[in-house]
Amino acid sequence: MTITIAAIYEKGVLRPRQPLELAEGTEVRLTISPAVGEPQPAEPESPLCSEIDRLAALGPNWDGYGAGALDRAILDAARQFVARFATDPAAQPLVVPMSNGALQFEWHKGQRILELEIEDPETIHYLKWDPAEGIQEEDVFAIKDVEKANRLIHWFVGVGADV
Amino acid sequence: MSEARRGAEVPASETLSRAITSADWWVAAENRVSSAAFAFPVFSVDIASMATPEETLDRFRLGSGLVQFNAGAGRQLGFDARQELDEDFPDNLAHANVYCALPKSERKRHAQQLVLLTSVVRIPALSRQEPPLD
Repeated sequence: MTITIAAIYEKGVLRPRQPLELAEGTEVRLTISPAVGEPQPAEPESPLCSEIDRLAALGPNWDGYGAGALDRAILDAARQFVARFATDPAAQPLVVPMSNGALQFEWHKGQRILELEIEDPETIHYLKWDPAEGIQEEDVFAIKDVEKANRLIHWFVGVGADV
Repeated sequence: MSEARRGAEVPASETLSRAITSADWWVAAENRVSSAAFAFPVFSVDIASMATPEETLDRFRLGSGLVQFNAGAGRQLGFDARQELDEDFPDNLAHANVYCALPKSERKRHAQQLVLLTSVVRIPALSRQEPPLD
């Protein structure tokens, strides 16, 4: 079996950018090639990626109600997703684990709320919520629809028109 | 659990307590709970008239928070509380499961409406770096 992964070299250690489905103690052979100039997935040092990594480390029963660990495929999809959308540094979302193994990004400002839940690796289920403006919109869109995600985020931060 | 085998309906007058067991479920900047705390399609609560906040919180990680909402108001939103034993804590007679039979396409709106119903009894004092439970 051969797999190709992205990794970063830091302080003498190669750190994979995504979880590996390998048993503890598995020995592997490495062939290293610099990735400069290739498309990169999530920026490894971004706060959002760090948050996703933190949630990936949650073990069984992390919520005290018997939840399992978060879904690996959803975590990977979340890493890819955050690499695509442009967030205003002043409006970084919370990254919130769900008991069903999913995760969602949440923006809150008073009654205005935006939730983007990665409910499966292909789909985002969103809530656009601002009762003062009469907005209670809920729908799904393909995770690859970056334009839709950015329009929703722009709505939240007050940039641009309705989506 | 199938609808036919569910426990007794929790009276509409009762208050329900939900422990906030993850720091990630607390929106500190807005002093409110995240809708993520209300798992779909079913989540656990205690009936407040049968368990004090301390008794509920004793079953969870130290520092967990607690919010409450009215059973009848929750039912009007589609969250049906049934008094049922918790297999992990069979001595807890206050336990109820809250079932949400709403279509998946409506659950986030209703969960957010449920957030609006909640009152905060105890703000969580959990670290986001808290290790997982065994």
